[in-house]
Amino acid sequence: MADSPVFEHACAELERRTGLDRLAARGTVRIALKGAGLDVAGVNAAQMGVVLRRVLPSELATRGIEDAAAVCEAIAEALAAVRFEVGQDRASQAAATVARFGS
Amino acid sequence: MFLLQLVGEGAFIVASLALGAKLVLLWRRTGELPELCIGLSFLLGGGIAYLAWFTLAVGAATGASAKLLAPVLLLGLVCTCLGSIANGIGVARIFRPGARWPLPFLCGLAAWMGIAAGLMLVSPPEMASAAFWAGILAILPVYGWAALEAFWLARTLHLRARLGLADPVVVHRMAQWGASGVIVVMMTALSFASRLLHGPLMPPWISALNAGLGVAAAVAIWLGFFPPRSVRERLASAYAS
Repeated sequence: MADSPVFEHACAELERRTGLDRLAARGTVRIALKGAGLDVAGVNAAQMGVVLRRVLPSELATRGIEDAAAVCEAIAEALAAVRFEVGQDRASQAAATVARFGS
Repeated sequence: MFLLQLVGEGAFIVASLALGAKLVLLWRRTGELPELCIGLSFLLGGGIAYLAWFTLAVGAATGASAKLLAPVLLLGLVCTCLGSIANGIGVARIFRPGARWPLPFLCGLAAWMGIAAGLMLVSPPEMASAAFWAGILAILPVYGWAALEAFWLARTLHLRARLGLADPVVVHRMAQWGASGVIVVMMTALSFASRLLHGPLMPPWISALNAGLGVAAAVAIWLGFFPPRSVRERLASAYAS
């Protein structure tokens, strides 16, 4: 399954703004997404925004990136300005169905 | 012992019938397959089938004739098998949409169950018991799979809910659904082990253990699908903090 365009965009921005190489940038974002229960194929812009603000700063800090929170905030703002077409991932679809079971 | 069994199995039967009815009513509003399948699974496999098992246990204890109990046994087997196949279809639609492998998996199990039920009808009594258990044990892969999927989703949604990306009540529901599936597997395996080791009449300690598992499954169903306001509020505040 192809990676989400949101993931691709966030990784490219991270690479550009931090000097991390492509492999390190993608690996760091993958780890942050995994910690948030998300996957690279189905992450959408809203989910990535939360990960950028709440998970990624500490991941970047452990890799010696200075002012990680500001970098992540800037990437989140850049992402918010772009329109992405991403379908619901498997967990979100299942969660939506099971949420109905309580109604 | 009878009272303990009544409480344990009765709680599980009531919870299963209530949830089954709730989901079938939901299906009448939405027309969506998952609620119909999971609703039928609880109605047939949890409610009616366990009512049949309870009737059999009472019948065996009171010395009812095998001829009288045979239709109840068949009803229990058919409801258990239909319930587990409905469960499998629902689980496939919810957790594996678009995947092809659940179809041959469930068709194979359904064929196995059909053969087992047919053999039970035409076999002499000593063989009929083996055919009965062959059908019953075929539900284990379905309920085991459903529990694994539910726990996987609960884990994934738990991580998301910590960031406000999922509903804590749904996280809780998935965990309780997984727990109830594991308990059904344990109850079935325990009944089979008892049949192998002790014959048709269950020893009191196994009946007590099964009754305890029935109560635990009922509590899991109730907390997961009919959560009281206090539980919902506690979940919301736990994830908010």
